[in-house]
Amino acid sequence: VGFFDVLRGGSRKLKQPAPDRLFAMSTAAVTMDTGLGLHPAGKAAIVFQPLATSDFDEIVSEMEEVLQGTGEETGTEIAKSDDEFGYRWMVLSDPDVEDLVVGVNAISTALIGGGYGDRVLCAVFAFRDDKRPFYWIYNYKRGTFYPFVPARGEQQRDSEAELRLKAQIGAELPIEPELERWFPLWGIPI
Amino acid sequence: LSRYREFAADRGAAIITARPSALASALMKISSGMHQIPQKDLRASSELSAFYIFPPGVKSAVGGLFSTHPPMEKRIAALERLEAQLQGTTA
Repeated sequence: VGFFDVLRGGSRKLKQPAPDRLFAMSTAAVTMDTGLGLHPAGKAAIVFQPLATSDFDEIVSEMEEVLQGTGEETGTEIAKSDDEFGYRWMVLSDPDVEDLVVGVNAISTALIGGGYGDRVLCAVFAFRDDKRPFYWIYNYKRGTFYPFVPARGEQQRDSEAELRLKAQIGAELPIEPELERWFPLWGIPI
Repeated sequence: LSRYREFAADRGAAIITARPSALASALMKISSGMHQIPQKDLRASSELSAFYIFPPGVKSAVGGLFSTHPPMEKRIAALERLEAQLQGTTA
């Protein structure tokens, strides 16, 4: 992005990163599970800002129907909830991480295809090690993942554990290189 | 030369403690501003980037010219490579 692009707000027009970056999670999850004792928690979510337009509602309800349909084959269950920031969480439950990645991608593809790519905030994949849950957050606008390890106490995170995860998995996931973009999501409902 | 010593010191400390990520985390804490892992929620921050006038990175490039220490991010990156070696996850 050039300087003048920044001044003109040109970054808004950046094309979406390649969707296959999201799919890196499928193989990375296997490595974490088998080699590192970091186990998928069987849940993932996509977080987006709903719009109160009939067009948007239509895309969302169509997408839910499609997912319900494929869910009968794959066993993926879907639930949704709205948070206090005004974002909607579509939560997918499936022990198979690959099914979760496919489901999350189906939702984001529907939203982006409908012209609502800028409403998609992130995807969240839940894991746990032997003592606590942690998350990989996928930033759609950047096409990168970063780890988020909530710690004990109100709005605390374990940055040491997060950097360790980066070192362990960095070869397999496109990790967000700018640490100041590793924004937390407090109170993740999965 | 002083930059090289800094890397060597980091490496020694990391090996002795066997916890490179602990040192990386400590460096992060004293590193000023630019490269800190944020506390602010993504949902509250997602509109912020619209207000960036300079792309992130310009400031660090200018700062790098005048620093006697290796840039903090390079020290942290070196520690991360070491962590990966100790963990044996990179081929």
